[in-house]
Amino acid sequence: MIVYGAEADLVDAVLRIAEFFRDESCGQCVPCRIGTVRQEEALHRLASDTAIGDELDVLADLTQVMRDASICGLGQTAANAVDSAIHNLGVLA
Amino acid sequence: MKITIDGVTTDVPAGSTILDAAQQMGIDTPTLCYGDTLTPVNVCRVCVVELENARTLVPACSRKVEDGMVVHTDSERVRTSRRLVLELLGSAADLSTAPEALAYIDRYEARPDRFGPDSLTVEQAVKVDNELYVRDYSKCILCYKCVEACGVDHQNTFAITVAGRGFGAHISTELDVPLPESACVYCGNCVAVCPTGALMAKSEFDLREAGDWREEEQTEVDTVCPYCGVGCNLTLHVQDDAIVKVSSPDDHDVTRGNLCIKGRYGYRYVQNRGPK
Repeated sequence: MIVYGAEADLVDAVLRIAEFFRDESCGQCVPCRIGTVRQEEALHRLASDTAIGDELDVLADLTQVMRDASICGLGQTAANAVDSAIHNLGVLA
Repeated sequence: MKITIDGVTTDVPAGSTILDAAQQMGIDTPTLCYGDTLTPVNVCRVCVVELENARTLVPACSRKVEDGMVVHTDSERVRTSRRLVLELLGSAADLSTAPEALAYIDRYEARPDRFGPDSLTVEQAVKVDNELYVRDYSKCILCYKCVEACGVDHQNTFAITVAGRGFGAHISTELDVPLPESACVYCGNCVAVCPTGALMAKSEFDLREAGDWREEEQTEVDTVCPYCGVGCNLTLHVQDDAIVKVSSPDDHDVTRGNLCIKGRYGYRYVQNRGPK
């Protein structure tokens, strides 16, 4: 669990978390190698008002498939914080 | 070993994988990084299946059957993962010469363009640095098959491996030197296992560039390699009365699909017709 103050910039936090997982991916399996890139791209589009339409569907699919089909724990949890911020805190939703 | 797949229980020998069991039952499971002559690396994740009581999906190509396993190969969860994996691959790499991947994209109704036109890709210039085969890594899905074929599974030359990490992971020679300066012995066994055409015989590449590659018109002729005494089986791919590519059958006891530089590329004397 991560605790943020009420005045924290959660969009910035989510983008940094997505960048972290994209940077940390070893690149071995497809869901994590490409999925962490697509996750960060979709979040950047949402954050910069350049959405092309179904970013939230893409992010939901990425959450499920990175968790279900990645080889290791990094890929399997790479969308956890992003998904939680969107669905529990309404960030970028 | 008893395993239940999609509601049907069957017996398979100990040591079988879920993929073996599915194939035995006639269930068509998509694979990209799996090769029947290679050690499974389970990186592409397109063969994932749902195993009851497992936290995540499991790769059918490498997961060994345990007695009493219950597996679903076509559940919504499986279809979603397979579809998204294909969308991710299709959005990052050029699959235009990857017929299997394109067929899977149709089968799972995948939409690789759903991530938008500005998606990061592996697009780069084609590496043409020798007369025998070219490397177009814009088409590479990083399945590791070429690395395995160059390494312990087939050739034991170790001229290439995966370098870099994350999205920047890529196939490289030692220190990224051009192929002629690397340890490559031009057996072409990496080309033989490449599922996307990222590795391609120069003869095929040149014909495709000229718009003259007509696979549907080609005939295949099985023969025996004329060089040494091993007696490898060759399959000659013939177009317009000329050999345009040489391969070897995967199921041949001697070659298992492998050849050496002479068998795979040393055929031009056959059609050295001289000046008219």
